[in-house]
Amino acid sequence: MAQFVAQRFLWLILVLFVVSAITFGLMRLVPGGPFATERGVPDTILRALEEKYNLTGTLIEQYAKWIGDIIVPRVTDDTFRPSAVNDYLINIRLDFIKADTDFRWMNFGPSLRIRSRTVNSIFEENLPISLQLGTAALMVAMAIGVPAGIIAALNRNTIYDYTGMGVAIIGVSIPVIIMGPLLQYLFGVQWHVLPVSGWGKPENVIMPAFALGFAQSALLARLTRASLLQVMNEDYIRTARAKGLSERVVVLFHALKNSLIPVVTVLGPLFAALLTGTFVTETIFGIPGMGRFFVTSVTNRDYPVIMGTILLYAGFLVLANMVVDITYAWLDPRIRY
Amino acid sequence: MQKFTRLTALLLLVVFTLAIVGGVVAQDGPKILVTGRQMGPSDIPTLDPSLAEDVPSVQIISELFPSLLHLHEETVLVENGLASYSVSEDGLVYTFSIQPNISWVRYNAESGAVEQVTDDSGAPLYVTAQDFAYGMLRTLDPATAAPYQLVWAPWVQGGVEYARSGEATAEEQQALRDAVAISVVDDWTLEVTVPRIAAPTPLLYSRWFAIAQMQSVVEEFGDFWIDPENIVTYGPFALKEWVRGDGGSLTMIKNPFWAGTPEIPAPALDEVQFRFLDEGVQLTEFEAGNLQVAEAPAASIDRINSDATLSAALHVAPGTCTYYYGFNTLVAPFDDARARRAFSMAIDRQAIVDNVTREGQIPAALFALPSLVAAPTSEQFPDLGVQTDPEAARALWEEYLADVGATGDSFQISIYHNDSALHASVAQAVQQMWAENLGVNAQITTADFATYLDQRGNYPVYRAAWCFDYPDAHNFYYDVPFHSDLIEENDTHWVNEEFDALIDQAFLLTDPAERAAIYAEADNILVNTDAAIAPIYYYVTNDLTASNVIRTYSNITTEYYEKWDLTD
Repeated sequence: MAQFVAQRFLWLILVLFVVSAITFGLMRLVPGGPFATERGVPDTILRALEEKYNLTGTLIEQYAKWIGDIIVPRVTDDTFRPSAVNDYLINIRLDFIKADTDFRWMNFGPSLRIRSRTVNSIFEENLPISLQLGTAALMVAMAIGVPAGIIAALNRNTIYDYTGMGVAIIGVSIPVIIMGPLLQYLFGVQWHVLPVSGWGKPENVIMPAFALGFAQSALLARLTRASLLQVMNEDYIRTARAKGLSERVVVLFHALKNSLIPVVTVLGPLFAALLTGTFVTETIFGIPGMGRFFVTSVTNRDYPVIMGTILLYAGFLVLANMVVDITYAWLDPRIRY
Repeated sequence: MQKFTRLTALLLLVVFTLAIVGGVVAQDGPKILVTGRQMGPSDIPTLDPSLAEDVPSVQIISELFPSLLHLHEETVLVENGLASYSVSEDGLVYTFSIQPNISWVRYNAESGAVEQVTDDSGAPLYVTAQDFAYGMLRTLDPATAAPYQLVWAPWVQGGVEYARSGEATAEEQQALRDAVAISVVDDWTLEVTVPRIAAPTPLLYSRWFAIAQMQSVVEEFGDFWIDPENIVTYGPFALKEWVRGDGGSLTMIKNPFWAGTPEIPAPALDEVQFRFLDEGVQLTEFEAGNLQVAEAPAASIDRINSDATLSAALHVAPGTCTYYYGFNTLVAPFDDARARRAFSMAIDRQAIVDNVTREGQIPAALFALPSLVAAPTSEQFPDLGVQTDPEAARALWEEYLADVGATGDSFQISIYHNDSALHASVAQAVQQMWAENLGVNAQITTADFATYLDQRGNYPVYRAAWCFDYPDAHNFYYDVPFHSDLIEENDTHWVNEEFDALIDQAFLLTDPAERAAIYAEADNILVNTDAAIAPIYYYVTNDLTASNVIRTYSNITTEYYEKWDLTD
């Protein structure tokens, strides 16, 4: 197991490296730049900005400088002027070695569009909000999806099955862009029981988490149902029943665990997608999360933010899949690493 | 099953606890106005007066940092702000007498109060002529890379030389900085020498890029000096909180040390919270009673008009921009003025504002916004500018085609616009009008804003808009840039000596009526006889306001919230 995890970590580094190199090249191929405005930017200003924000020299030089700022730690006693280009994620005072010495590591760079912000500040301030919303949405998805799938499978071709799967079809078919305003109108405008938009209070989480989670729950319900139906026909289920176990024990401890493998497989990428934020949900519910940065950074040509968001998503995706693989071993005793 | 439910409950509890701890707890205050007006769903780009260039940033900055002279939001006239001023006999030296004892303040999150900024000895610091000189020079400083650097530079003697000194040595740069004619006479007196007499000069001192900044704070905190814990301000409101990110919010709190001036009174409101929301969400929040001021989305205009409560809350005010189509005068058929005129005359502007934009926009026959100082208006000059006339357009187009021996299908005509539902609808309407009136099949091409800005000079027709920087007609004819001084930045590539001469002539005159008459002639060349561009409409701002709000309706988009109030 330890070897497996170590191996996966090496893969993670390789994946992030390749993803960063490809993204870096691709985003610079797109026409337009981060500093363009309707007024037109004088050449002297443009040159000064490009100098300040590491946009001069060849692409390889720029990439090397960018990645160096992230992975190479600095130990320095400079008291440098605070600046968006010098913002490190990890700052540790090393007074015990030498007075006024700092260990600084991981500078993901400044935002080129909002000059007083850095990619690190987006990670620190906006990512936690998306993490909270994503976790809540995933809870909603699982809390609705998995039980609905079980009930449908155990009551195959009955009214429970049809109702559950009908709701699932509706869930998959109604996008958040419809569901969100509908919920806002009913619970916010008509009944005044929940805040329409915003973030910071517990009740702010309910509507967006439901809107986001409901659609995913439908997916999980269908997967759970199909998988459980298949497992219920396996020989070992018959054996379990023959041993005289109660149906409840057979379903919960023998069938369900095994049938969750396909569900867990989709949960990995889903987890990564939900945690890093969602553009539409965050826009509709006025949530200051990460989701909008994935889109606005590209339209603004905000290169460091593009790199930061892509790397973050890639990292989450690889990690989530690693967790999924580890979970397989627990769900299915035949899988060993 | 039971185990699973318990686990879910536990996890939900953890999530909610995290939400409470990590989130922002709203504080109740006596009079808090919540508004989404002119903010949009994105974070405010900056609060740095030297770096601001967009409506939301300028709105907040004008409350935190009042200018030397003040632009009245309804009359669009300059009045005294933080200073009164006099001009020397030769008209070149502006002397500003700054109101003494205006405190620098900062919000203290621990005590929950706005506090005076003090020096080391504990004495309060006041806004001085030095602070204004520093702020003005910082906008010019090449190292700041201010977007408005070259708008501001020509209005100060030595400004352009210093602004363009980016590649000079440090000594040369210092010498050029010292040569900029902004001089501090004493703490409350500032003298600025202008390079030439020009009517719009006072307007420039009402702009955000020429205001006071505290040098020690800017230098100590660098790029982060505008963060709420660092920023020092002096206006009627101070910065209380800024939740960064799209969907966030910014809260201003009443500055108790602002005693008020005749033009900028002490605020009646205790706090103003700006929320960054999509306009559709703003409308929902307004209907839920959580926003006192919201924007009216174009998509919902029918519902608003048919609803008694909403239509009573709606107010349409003039905006600050002109929407226009630019023609690339280097490519056929638009290298010929007859073709450009024909295409412009074939656009039915009234139909566009009535059926497409539908928010009360005003059809534009002339380019300059009518609300500007010295701007010609269609009421005054009904015969000038471009008139919609499909028959004349057709005749002119056929005359051109016969002349060059081509047919309507000979040209690849495409309309280029940046991605937006509004621009797409306008482009489709124009496409249809050109098909019906001229028999031309135009294509429509779209791109995101950055690509569009980069590429639009290569397309035959592009959509654009210009919003005033300072409310004088000169800004619309010179800085846009249709004057040949700025030809490199002009995507129509159009040059006209007669136009240049008229703009230069009007610039040096002082009587607004006399200037307007000259600008009318120039505008007529720009949009009619030479038709480098086709103006389409003037923007409006439309607000929904709750009935308990006492407010002004600005003609310059920026509102002064110190004049607003809430009733019970």
